[in-house]
Amino acid sequence: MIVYVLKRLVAMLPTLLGITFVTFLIINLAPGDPVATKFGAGAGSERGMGGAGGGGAQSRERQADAIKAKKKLLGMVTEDRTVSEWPTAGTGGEAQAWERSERLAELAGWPLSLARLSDGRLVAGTSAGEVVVLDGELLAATLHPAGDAGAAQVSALAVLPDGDVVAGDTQGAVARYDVGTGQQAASTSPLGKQIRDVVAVGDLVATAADDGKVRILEPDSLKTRYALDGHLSGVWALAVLPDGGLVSAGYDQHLRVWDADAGTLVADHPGVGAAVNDLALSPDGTRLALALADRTVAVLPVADLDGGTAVLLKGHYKEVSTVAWVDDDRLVTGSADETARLWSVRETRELAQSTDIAGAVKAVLAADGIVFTAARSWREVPVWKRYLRWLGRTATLDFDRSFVDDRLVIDKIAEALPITLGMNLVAITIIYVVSIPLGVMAAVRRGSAFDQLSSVLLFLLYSMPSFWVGTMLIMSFSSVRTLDILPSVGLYSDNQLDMSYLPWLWDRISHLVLPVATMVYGGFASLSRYARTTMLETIQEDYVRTARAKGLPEYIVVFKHAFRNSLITIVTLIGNLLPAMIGGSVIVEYIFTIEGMGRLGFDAILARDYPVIMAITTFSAFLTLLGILVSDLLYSVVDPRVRNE
Amino acid sequence: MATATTPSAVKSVAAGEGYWARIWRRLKAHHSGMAGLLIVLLLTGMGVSAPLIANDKPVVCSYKGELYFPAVATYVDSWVPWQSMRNELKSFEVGDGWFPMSGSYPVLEGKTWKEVADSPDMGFALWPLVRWSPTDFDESALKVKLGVDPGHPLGTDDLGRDLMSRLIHGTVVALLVGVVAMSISSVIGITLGLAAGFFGKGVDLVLSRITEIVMCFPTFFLIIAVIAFLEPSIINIMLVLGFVGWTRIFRLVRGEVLKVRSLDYIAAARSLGMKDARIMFRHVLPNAISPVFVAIAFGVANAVLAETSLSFLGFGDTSVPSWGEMVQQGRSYVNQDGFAHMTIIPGLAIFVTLTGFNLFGQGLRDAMDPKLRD
Repeated sequence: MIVYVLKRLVAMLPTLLGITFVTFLIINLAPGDPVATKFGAGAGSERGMGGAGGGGAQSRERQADAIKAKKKLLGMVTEDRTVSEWPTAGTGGEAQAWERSERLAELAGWPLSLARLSDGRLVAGTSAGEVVVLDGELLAATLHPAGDAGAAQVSALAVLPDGDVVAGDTQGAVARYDVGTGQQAASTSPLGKQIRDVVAVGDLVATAADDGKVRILEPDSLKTRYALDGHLSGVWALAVLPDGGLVSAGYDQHLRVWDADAGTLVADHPGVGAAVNDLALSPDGTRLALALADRTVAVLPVADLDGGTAVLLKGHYKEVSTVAWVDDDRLVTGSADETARLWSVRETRELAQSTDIAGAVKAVLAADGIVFTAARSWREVPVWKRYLRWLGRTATLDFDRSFVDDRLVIDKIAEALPITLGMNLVAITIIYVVSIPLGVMAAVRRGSAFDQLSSVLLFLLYSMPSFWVGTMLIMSFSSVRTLDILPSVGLYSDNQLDMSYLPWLWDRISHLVLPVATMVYGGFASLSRYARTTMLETIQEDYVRTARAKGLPEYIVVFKHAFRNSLITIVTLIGNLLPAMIGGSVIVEYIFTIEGMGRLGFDAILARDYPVIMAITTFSAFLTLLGILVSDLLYSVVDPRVRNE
Repeated sequence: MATATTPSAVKSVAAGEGYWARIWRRLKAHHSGMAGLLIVLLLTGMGVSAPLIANDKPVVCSYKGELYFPAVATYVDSWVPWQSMRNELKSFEVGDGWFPMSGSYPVLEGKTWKEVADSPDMGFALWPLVRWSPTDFDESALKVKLGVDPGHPLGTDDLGRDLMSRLIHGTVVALLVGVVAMSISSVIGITLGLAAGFFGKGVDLVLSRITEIVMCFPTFFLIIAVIAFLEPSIINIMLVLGFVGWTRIFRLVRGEVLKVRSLDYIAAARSLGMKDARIMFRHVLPNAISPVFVAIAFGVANAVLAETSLSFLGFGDTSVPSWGEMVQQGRSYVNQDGFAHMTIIPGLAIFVTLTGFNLFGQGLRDAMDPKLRD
């Protein structure tokens, strides 16, 4: 028996592969744009084009997000860990797509910070804790020795006047490296709060940390000379003004100017009304650019940091995390909306926008008219690799999150599946209980009025479309015009928790009556006909004739000899009945507003919620396969001969 | 003596009953099967003549002294798929131009046939029973109840479209989708089934696996998914239904071919040196195909059910009248008096159609069943 089960399972492997292949094919061929109206302001037609109205820009953004999400879902792109080079020449005129010219390096961790050495080489700090010089030479494998809870990530980098590199990490440690030797020259112990930014100010080093302090460090020993209080919460960005003043800003929106040598507060400006993620001083030293959490970029004249004459650049639809000047006019920004954008400050508009970045842009750097970004990027993946990845996800039931409400798809299915299965179980039980006796009776009284009448009636029932019957049932039993005795929406009343046991039970049952009635009536015909045929065949067997011949009463002949033998084959049909019912549940659940698999699938299809669609398709196919397997196994129990075939 | 017996032997074969003649005779004796056939034929007749029964143009009329057949032009509009061919056909004239089939009719000077119905230029006109086309909006009659307006025998929907006309023209959609989808399924199913059964081994293995895979997906859900991604035109619905529904026919044909293939006369054909193709199509297929007809009859019913269900759920082609869509419309009136017919009548139409094909299929099955041989 075990050998047979294993054999059957192995035989199903190609089918399983085929199922994943078909789902993969469908989702890849399906048009990529989720319906804009679902995400947007709701203007436009029910399907197809939408978002032409007022909320157009916003819905386009959400749509861009959804398309990216679909590409990730399909594994159409890998997210490689690169520092990339972007040309800025020729990006004038109309806003255009911006394409990278080169991927400079692929790193072990996600690049989080960038700095440029005096000889033109780039230094990147990564989430793996590395500090890497980008001609390939590894400066330090990790900042912290192993054993710490979670590796520290290099979140800030600066180059000192003497050519050394200073790195700050997410655990609050700062270290200095000699680029020539690759040795760590000095380091501090972690202070537990992330270092957000590091700059060289004069001969000193300044750090900004999440604990709200700006620290001025000795350049050689990295000992803290001053820990400057003033910010109400985390300090996220630092910049050095032409006159040597140190500007800091962060979550509390204020811009504070410090005298680093004296360790005193020089000025406190209220800022522009949003948390500041990054600061950059223009090459001519007259303006300061602020990357803001409110999705804008503000450019302030250094002479007037109170924000009265700020130029605002709007376009990103998530917070702007990093900013850098390309020249005295142009700015480059990186944002959590997974784009890097090039701006003209003079014209106050966007010049270009990247298309293939696949993650928040953590750092941008500009030098000699070339922009460098540290971000995950998209790269087209060969189809076979995508399929293998899809296979892996299917095997681990990893269907990601729904596009609509961002919940795990597997959770949504775990809620819906028991409802559908439960209702089908009730329905199948009723079908069996009703149609088998009918079939047996018809076979025993073959040709009688009962046989003919039941056959015709069941046949007429079978020919009724279920959506019509469901609607008619609502019209008859659940409408204020006729009988208003049975509920037609959902599986229970809103106040079911307040009920005592019996009313609660009746509430449950009454909600089930109409849907289950709609599910069962069509199943009677085929099953009772099958029962009748099998019974007729069994009745003609020799052992039944023998039983009659030895004078057993007719009911014993029928029930003990004929019925029990024909029942076995009928029971094996259960496996085949289940899949058809899951497909049919779409209509029943739609009509009676039941949140089962069918309704979930219907809503997902309308919303182009690909993860849910694919999960349901795959699940249903697996269930069907399971049904076939159960049928086969039941059959082999009944008739052991098939195992040897 | 030998020469004397030959003619009588030939005669007895000629007088003997052929396979199809026998099935027809047994089908004729099968009351419900014949009833099904009758329903199917009546529905087909109604579908074919729908533009003559319900239309906003006269069937035949004389206008400014000339004879016109405007309703006939509807056929050209509806059933000729190519624009150029439509134009060709519409400018088709006989003799002195008394049989123009153009839909635009310059002689009307921009008016519709209804607007000129009472003008003195109109000689005589034979109007269809229902003077509305299914897509005609009667602005003056939104949501007319049953039997209120004699111009709208079944009333109108909330857009002012005549329900009787939509009901009649819905026949075309239902039958067309059923028949075309099932034709596609049959061609695929028979071809693959024949190949799998006849060649066996690897071919059979691969095709059987593919069938198993297609069967594993809940058909209806698969159809909705595909239709939702495609433009919901009636052609796409037919194609999808056709490409999803062939598995049953495949299994039937494969099984039959496997049975027939091992029979002696196939071995005889092979030993005569016949080519595979000839054996397949001359000897195997005709002897394996009869059960397929039963499956096709049931399959058409299934396809009609699938199409109406799709349009009930809102995935149908809204440019053509579909019974499923009509039931959906009626569903929004369950709590209002006087609109129950909007649900009941189109549903009845579906029910009658399904019954017709199912009864006919059952009759055919009984007539073909060798166990019930008389």
